[in-house]
Amino acid sequence: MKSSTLTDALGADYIALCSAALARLMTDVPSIQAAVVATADGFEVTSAQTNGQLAASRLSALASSLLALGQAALRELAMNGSGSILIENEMGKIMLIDVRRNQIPVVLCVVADGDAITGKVLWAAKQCAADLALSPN
Amino acid sequence: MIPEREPKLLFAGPMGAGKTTAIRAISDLPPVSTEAANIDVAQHSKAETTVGMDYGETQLDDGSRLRLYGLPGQSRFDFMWKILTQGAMGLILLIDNSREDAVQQMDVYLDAFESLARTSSVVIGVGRLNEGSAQISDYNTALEKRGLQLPVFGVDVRQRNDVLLLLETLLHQIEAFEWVSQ
Repeated sequence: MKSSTLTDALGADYIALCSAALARLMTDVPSIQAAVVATADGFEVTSAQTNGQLAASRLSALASSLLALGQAALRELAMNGSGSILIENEMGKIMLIDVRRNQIPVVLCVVADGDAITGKVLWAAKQCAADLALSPN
Repeated sequence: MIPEREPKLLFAGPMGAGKTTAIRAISDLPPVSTEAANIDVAQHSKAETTVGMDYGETQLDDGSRLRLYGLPGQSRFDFMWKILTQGAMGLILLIDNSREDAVQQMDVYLDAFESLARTSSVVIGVGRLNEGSAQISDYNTALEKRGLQLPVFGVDVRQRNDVLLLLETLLHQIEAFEWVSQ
């Protein structure tokens, strides 16, 4: 997909808002190694990372699939509303959050190292998701 | 659970070919779906697209229960293809004939699901047959070039009977291959 299509769909101002929100997140919690904002259908909007090893486009597609499967499970149990997913092992944590907006929905993916405190990452990721739910001024 | 009595079957094919529609048409239960707002309107103009999987079930007259999985069409979700192919007995490949590259699209998916194609566990359903220039014979020619003999049908997957035809043919194919290779 052309990046101009993405800009047309989301607006350059909103993409800038996303980039700023990720930069804030990375500064606030040093144990967060990477973060990606993707559209609900799996295209990377913007990403930030500390060591440059992350394939953000792959992670975008994975994040949208995982969250959509999570949503399907919630719907199946009549637990409607947006959801989040935490995947973790001793190497690290991946936090996925569904960002509900009136406009095109996006998802947030946060990657933290193994020593990160789950609650801290969770709280910071949810703050970031709240920022992403806003519209640009 | 006896897997043979509850085979896992896949629906694959490009975006907009009708995978979600086919499962909706045939499933006895409301299917599980994972659709998200589609922003890639250059690829297809539809409002929503499957990003995880579809899941439905249907019981045949002989009592066997089919477990039906719909795959996301776009190759960026090919990790879902790999996950969902595990344990699958066969695949229905849906092609949208209104696309100019319809026949080439078939090749793309036959490459991706080569192991199922090699065991004749694939049936091809061509939708919107009248809206494109390719004929069924063009698909057969392309299959012959690959050394494959797979059934190709013109279908409207909104019609339950068309989907049923594809599923029953697929089950016969699988059975015949097993019989021949014994």
